[in-house]
Amino acid sequence: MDAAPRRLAVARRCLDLADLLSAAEAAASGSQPVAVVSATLPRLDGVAVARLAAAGAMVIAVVDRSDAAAAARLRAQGVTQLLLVDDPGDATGPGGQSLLAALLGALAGTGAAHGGTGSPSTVPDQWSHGAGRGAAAPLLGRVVAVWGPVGAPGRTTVAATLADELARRQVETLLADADTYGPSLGQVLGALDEASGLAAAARDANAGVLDVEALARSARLLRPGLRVLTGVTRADRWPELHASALAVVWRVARCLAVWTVVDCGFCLEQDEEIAYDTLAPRRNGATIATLQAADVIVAVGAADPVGMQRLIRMLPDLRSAAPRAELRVVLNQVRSGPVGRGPDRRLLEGLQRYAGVESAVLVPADRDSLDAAMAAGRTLAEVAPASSARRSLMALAVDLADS
Amino acid sequence: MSEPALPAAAAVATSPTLARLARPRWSDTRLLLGVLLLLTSLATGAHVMAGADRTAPVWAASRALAPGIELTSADIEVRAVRLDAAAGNYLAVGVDDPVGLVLTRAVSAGDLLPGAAVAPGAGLAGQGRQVTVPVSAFHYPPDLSRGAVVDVYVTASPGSAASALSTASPAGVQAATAAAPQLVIAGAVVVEVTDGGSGFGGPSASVGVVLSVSADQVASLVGGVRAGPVDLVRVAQP
Repeated sequence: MDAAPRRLAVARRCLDLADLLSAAEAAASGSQPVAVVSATLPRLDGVAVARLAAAGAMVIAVVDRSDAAAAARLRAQGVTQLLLVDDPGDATGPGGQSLLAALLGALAGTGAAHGGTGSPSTVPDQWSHGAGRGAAAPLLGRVVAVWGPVGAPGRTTVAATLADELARRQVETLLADADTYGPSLGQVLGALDEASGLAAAARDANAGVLDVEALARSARLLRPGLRVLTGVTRADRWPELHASALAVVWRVARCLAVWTVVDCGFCLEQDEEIAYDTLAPRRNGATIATLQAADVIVAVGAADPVGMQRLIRMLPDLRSAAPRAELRVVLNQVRSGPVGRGPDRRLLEGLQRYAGVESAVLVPADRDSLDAAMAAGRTLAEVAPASSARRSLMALAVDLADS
Repeated sequence: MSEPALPAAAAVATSPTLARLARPRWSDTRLLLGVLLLLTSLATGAHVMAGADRTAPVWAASRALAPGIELTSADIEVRAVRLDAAAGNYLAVGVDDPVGLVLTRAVSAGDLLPGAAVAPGAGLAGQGRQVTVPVSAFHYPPDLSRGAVVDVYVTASPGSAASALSTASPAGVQAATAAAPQLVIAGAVVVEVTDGGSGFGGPSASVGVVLSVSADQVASLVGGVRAGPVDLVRVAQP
């Protein structure tokens, strides 16, 4: 320790993972906690690494040099600093000295790159750009997040129809349901199996074993070219869709499908820091992580005064949560009833004036076709291909694919 | 931007197929199997029941018949009965033909015809004769029909040859003024009751009753009928 360039002190020898997490989160401000973990620490998964990173701790894992699988798993779970040693159990002999030297070298090399506490509300950079499994292949696919404010504007309908239209252009598409409040994608597609594909993929991501094959096994084939990751069956299963795990899922999904269309939840609030003293599980973590991973965000609003007001109020929050994504606004159920004559012009004028949105996709209210699709558990193109609602969304799909 | 090509791993990564809600159709396999099962069970049941049928058709009398009557096809009918050991006692359809045979004992309506109850050749081909007797209204039982047994009484009208008959009776003294009815034939079997073809008969019209008698009774019956009005008295069957 004396040879170290900075002051290093062993703060705590932790008994288990829970001890480690609480110690990292309770670290005194102004000091950089470093967590040195063994590769064989029980229950060490992606979520724990994310929590350590969110607490601002740098994670260094000690791995047996011959155990390539453990090294790959740890990298997939987000650990960037790996010390490969010959005999991890040897602490006092020459192996231990070399371990200490390597540790100090690692600390010196990284310096203060990870100093300070990362904001708990954003996924740390080492996650989204880290060397996880599957990132060796170029990231070719694009992620489309379908978001909408509260009030059932038609997120699931738009997401399912959009994915169906993209798949009909002969490109591999993945449709997923990351809604943690009212997941309904499986039911809308008439799925008889209620097992959650996305939760299974998140579990694999947590364990560090999610690759393209594992993701394909969790998904279900709707027809050749279109796969589905059904969401959680109940809203109270939202902890299974941890933000860090979903970030890995979307990264691997880019290697599985050209287009990944994700149906998100409505809420963008991140006030867990206000509500809790300790780092709390984030209710909207799945939605936020999806929006931050997305290349295109399709914001769906209901085409009536209340729906428009909700959409316009939430658009600034959406932009601040995901500043880099391309935004497309879709207004669903466009009809003259609640808006007045000439609904198209009125709605576009309102968007322009209040939200600064220049163009939007207007989906007409085709109640009969949508009811028939829901009754049969099929997409619009399967039940009513001539529907006006389907044609508008087909135009959006063509526009996205050509952009 | 044209669609990028995915790495080869995506091409071989297979996903299980999603089981989706299916609309029920009339051509559903389960429905067709169910209908097939129903028809098969019906056919099998009918076949088994038919195979278990041990009944045989035998001849039975369709109405009450007295002995001595010659059987016609209107008198007999087919019954399906299960006889087992007693099958040899009765006349089987297709094996025996009772038409033309004469009953030797009385049978009620619906009785099976035992082989011992019929005998060949005692009808017209044998010694039997059939005589038609005119009977005026209310002098015969109203429901008189084929197969009944009657006694023939004749009341001789005065001045006819009946006086010769009356001298043979015990009450011969009164024969000159009012002749007593005489029993001409006892126990004659009615073969047929005819109304002469008028078609408007009914129970209160004069009819002709065809009686079956033996050859030696014919003369006395015909003479008696000529002597005066005829009364037919039904004899109850034993």
